[in-house]
Amino acid sequence: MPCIQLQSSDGEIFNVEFEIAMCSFTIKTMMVDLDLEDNCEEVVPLTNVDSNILRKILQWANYHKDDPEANPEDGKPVDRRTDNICEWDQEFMKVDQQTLYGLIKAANYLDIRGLMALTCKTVANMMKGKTEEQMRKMFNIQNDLTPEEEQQIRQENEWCEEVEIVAD
Amino acid sequence: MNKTEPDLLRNRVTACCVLANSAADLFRKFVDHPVKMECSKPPAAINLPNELWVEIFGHMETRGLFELSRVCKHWNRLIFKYWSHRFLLHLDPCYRKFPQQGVVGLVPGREYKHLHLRSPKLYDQMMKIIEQLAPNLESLKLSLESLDLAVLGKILSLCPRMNELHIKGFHFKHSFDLEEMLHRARKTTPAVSSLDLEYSKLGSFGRELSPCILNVTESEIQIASSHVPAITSLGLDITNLEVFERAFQNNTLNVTKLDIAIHQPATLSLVERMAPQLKILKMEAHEDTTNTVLNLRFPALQVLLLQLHNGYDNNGFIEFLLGCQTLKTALLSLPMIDHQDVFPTVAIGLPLVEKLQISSETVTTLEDLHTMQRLKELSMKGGYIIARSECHMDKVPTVEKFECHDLMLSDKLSNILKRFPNLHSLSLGMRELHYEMKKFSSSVPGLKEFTITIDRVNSDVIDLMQTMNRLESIVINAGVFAKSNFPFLRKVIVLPKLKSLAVNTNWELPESVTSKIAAANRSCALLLNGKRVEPAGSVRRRSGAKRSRPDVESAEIQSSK
Repeated sequence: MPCIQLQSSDGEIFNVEFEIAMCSFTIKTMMVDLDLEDNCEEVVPLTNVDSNILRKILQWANYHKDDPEANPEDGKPVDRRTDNICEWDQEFMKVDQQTLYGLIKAANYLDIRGLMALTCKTVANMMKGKTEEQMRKMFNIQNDLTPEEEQQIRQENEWCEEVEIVAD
Repeated sequence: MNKTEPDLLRNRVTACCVLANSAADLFRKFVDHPVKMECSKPPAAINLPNELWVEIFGHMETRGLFELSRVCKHWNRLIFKYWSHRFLLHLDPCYRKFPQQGVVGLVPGREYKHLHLRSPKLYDQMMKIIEQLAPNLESLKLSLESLDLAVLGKILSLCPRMNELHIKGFHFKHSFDLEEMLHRARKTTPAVSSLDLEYSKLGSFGRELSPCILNVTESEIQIASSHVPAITSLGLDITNLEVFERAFQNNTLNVTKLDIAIHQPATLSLVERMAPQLKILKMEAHEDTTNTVLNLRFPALQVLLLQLHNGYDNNGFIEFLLGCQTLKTALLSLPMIDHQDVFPTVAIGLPLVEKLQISSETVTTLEDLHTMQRLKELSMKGGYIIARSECHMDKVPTVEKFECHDLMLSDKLSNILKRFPNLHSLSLGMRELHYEMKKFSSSVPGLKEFTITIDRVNSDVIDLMQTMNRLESIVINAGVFAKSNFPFLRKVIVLPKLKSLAVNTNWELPESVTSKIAAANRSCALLLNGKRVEPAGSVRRRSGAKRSRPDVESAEIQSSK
């Protein structure tokens, strides 16, 4: 099985099968552009991903290597649901917040669509049913809204309805 | 990998910083205060780049987004910038859904894409709000009592992205000139693809208006027609439409969906122009327009909802129906005519229709039904079905669904049902069960879904259902369902294949009665007015919680009927 060497930001080198590395569009594009497909000696540095996160990502990619490839241009409506996470993924997502955000950013940087969706859904699930104050605490956010602004937003929100999606 | 914990943390912080460089200020924050980052709390999640927050927010319910928008300014800005297409701002001063006096208006810089204004008139403050939102507005619905068309023109000229305009009104000012307005709309907002106009009081202005429409110069008409018309959906109910005919002349080429009430024969040329491309048509012919309406031909029509109020010429009607060559669904509401049977006419006129509904007080034989080769669903509402021995009563194997409401029968229902050997769904509606309605179960051995709408459920109704062994779903809509009769349902709920038994009634039914029935067959969901009844003896029930949540699956079965 042909492999590629990925180097994390803290210098650790991972031997990764092509097939698994290809889940990342960033790596895929790079390999095609630099014509690395026949060259296993080259080390690809990933300056934005540390070894802990990279190890997690490879674990995820290995499990999902047989998933059908998502085509971003197939015009399907965006999957807004968050209750369709498979059991393995749920287990995989039981990590501390810091790792979670590391995974989101790395998935974004490496352009791994499935992992992007999974991590974003996980964060969305964490937010659901929380009050504003609980969310501020969870994400360590300062409330920079004055009481008047908060009141104005609250009022405006009450005037808002959900747009009906009319199916013809 | 024998690094110490602080080393790892520093590396992580560096990695975070590199990614956060899109948010330059945050980047600065980390560089300026690295020591603080290393020793105390986990790093704030706020260092996620904007696009990731937007992505995460996209997985929230719309209601949840409102909560999020109150967390901080940053999130508020992101949500209203990227997800505002999911919100409809609905302002209604009558219900205090409007900025109070003293408050300037909306949050400064706020963008919405969809706006609904409901008010007696357009107040100045509303105009200010519209002006604020106009550059991003994609759809606008105005429900006003009165509207000055000059103002509407001004609004339209401010909204370059508008593609949906819905105006509902009661009274329009005299300066009204629809043609001018449409013309202006086309010039300023060429993307408007859906225009819906509803007015109540327009007729009385017609005469005054016509001169102003005739005054339009030829050069202006040419300008209007040079714009590509983009309206695809149109709804009109105007008494003297011909006054506006010219206004629509150049704006109807792409209309495929039309909902129109015809009051005068003269308005038909407008419909005629749209006819070749219409796919969905709802048409109501008032007064003496019936036979003129029947001269129209709709070669591309797929769905027809036709309501005729006056008598029609039979041959003309056949010709009309035959002219709708591609029709798949026909819902016809016809007047009663003496000595005229609707059925042969419809069957000859619509040989390829798949779904047919006839609402009429008329007398029919259901003769010639078998000539409709693709008929899958048949619905008869009102009227009187008579049996004549000399009629062709051939079987109609394509029919799977039969609905029969408020009908009178001269024959047994079983004789009618025998003609549908592949029927799996039957819906009956009547005041009470007559003898000719009973005992048909052996005629429809494959029946899976049964709906009955009846004034009062008595033991006859129960006995009827009890004999249909293959049923998977039953819906009972009852005016009266006495609690002393409800226990009889025990015989029904135990039908071997039954998965859902739904009862809809306003009658009071105590839980002590219903839960016992639910317990008689736990593999079948018992629903009372859409809510699942918890079987008696269930451990899940707590005091204070009267009924459990509605069962989603069974609710779906019910709503799909």
